[in-house]
Amino acid sequence: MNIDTSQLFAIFGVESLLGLLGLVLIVTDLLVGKGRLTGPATAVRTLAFGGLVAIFAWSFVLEPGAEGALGTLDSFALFFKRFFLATAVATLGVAAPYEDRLSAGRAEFPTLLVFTTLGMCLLSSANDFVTLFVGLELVTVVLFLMAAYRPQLPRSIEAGIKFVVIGALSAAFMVYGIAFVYGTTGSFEFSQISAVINAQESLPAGLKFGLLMVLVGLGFKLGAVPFHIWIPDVYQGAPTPTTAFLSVGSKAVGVVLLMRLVYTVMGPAAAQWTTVLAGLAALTLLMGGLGAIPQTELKRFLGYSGISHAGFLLVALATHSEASAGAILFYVVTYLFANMAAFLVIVIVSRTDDDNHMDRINGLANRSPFLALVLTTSMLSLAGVPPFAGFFAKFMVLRAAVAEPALVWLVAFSLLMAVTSLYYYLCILKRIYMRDAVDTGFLEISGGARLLLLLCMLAVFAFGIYQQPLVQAAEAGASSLFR
Amino acid sequence: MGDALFYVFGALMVLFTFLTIRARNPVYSAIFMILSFASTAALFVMLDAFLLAAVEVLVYAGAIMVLFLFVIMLINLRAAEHDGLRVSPLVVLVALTFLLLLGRGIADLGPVPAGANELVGTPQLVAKTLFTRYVVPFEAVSILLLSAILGTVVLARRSGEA
Amino acid sequence: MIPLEHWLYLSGMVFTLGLCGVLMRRNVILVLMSIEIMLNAANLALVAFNKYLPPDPATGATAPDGQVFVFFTIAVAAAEVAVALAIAMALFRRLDTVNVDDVANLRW
Repeated sequence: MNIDTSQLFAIFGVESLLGLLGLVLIVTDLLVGKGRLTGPATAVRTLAFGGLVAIFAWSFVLEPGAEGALGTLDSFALFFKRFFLATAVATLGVAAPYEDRLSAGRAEFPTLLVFTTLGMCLLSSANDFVTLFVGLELVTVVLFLMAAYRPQLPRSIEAGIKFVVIGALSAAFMVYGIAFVYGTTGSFEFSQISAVINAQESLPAGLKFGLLMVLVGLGFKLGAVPFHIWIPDVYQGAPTPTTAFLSVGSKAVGVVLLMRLVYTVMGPAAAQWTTVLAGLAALTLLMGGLGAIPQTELKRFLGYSGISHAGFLLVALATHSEASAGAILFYVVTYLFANMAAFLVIVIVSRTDDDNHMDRINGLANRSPFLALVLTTSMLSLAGVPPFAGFFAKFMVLRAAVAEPALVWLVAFSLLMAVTSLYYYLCILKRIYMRDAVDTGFLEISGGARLLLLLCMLAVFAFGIYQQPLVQAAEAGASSLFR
Repeated sequence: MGDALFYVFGALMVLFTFLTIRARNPVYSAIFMILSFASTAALFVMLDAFLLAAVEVLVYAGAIMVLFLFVIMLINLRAAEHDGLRVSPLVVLVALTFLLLLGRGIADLGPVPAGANELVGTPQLVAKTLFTRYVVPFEAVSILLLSAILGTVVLARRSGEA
Repeated sequence: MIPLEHWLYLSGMVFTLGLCGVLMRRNVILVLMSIEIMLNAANLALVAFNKYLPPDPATGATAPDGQVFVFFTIAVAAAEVAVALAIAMALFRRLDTVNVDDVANLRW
């Protein structure tokens, strides 16, 4: 088998550039930082930011369509590459005001971020289980490190160890599942596995077992019940920029791979899994909704909120139609903006320490009307209140699901949970506007942070009122899964 | 003869694995695990995966287990776990459910697997596949190892400033 | 010749033993070792499946895909273990324990 190098770079152009950027960052750190582990990392951070923005801009020049045995660059892959690059840029924005709190490895943080993003982009182009496994491990192993990034804080290190144990365990299940899929279909390639699956009347139990184990592995990434147990602790313990990246990136990785597997690999045979996915979706919604109510820690709260969003994504996955696939793509983008804004506000209000108790946002409306407005927008969007983008995302998911008669109960249940979730998002708003401030220190908002917050807030507004461009992009992205 | 060896090494692998998870002393566990990996390597030879058998001994039994032993020695983990193993109904339930699913899966593998084929895992053959069909994941693994080094250096520093 | 099922039963037994180890041991290092056992069992299944797949009609030979995958799992496991042990060391230095019960957040 010969490798067509130019085709390879056409497919993996983004990944090659990210790899190059990472290496340049390491060298820059060695030259500028003179090998010191502490001290400001302005050069590395600026370079990483510039590089990521440039690659993000360049990704809009790319045309989907390049396809080879080693990977694929369909419009779906391209959509998610842009998404992951945007997530990385936003994470750097969240990390900038946080940098003072990292005693070590300030320059390595952007580098690791670039390498995880590389893994995520690789996953969106994955065409076979080998690339899938290696890409997934690249993402998770680097995220382990980023979660334990402040080893002097017991909470961070505990989050790291918990994440490592659960992540490695899910990887072991995944490899075992992949072995069975391989053994019963004779290939790692998605196209061939799909051909074998859809040629058979009913799947052999061995193949079902393999697929189930792979789903278990991906369920961990997505944070679906019963594989969600790591989420609250890791979200709380990890440094806030890592949590922000984890909440959007890791979830999106689970989404990308589940969509590829359910829509492309299983294809029509996925109809047999609707009940399983719908059951998981209902449980996840319930767990996320009930778990969020007693929380008093902001990041933990957003963890549970993320679990219920994973539930909504599972509702869309269970639906299995082109409309629901488009809805998922729209959903993750709105989630990105709302979540990044919320985490950046958390970084700012926790100022120099890492106490993220909900008391910190009490009376925020008086202390900084701008931050209060941003957080309000983001909470209302996460809750799914019109006219914000999150409302339209939920609406698209449920509209697609209601077309399926077997899922009407699930739609009703999701609506119920969405209304319930309003309660705890409104509790946050009550703290912002009705309570007196506990912490009265000065909130420092740098120009860059202000810009990012403004951007996120505008996006949440704009996509809520004028959805058409994003809907079109999402539908174009999803369509390539159904060829 | 060859068939009998499968059962010998298979039994050894199960036995050593059992001893690994059972041993009170972590150092014993590590030693048993090396033996378990050695049995696996023997089984790889019986499957004609010669290169993998060598890698299993070199990397798994060699590098990875030495790393484990090193850490066990470094943090002086001689003290056995004080209250022994954690056995709960949940453990039994999870293990039994898994075994049940697995048993059903193995009993029905579908039409694809056939009899043993002629495949011999020589270095040439494996390397050729690795560097053509799977060159992309290969490069990804190199990035993974690089970032693992980078991150571990940050974590492993003596925490001078709190 | 040994039937494929026997290889799989063997790998399944070892995998389940590893799973029990993860659930039963209290020491993080031992939990990580149990996970390595599970990965090793999965490797055995991959190689066994590879040996029992029919040859590709185009080339007349079976591609060593399963064996290549095992390479990747071994390389990934090495990286994962290095990272996991670094975090375990940091945990030990900070809290003077590697016992999962002593870590407040680790009760599951």
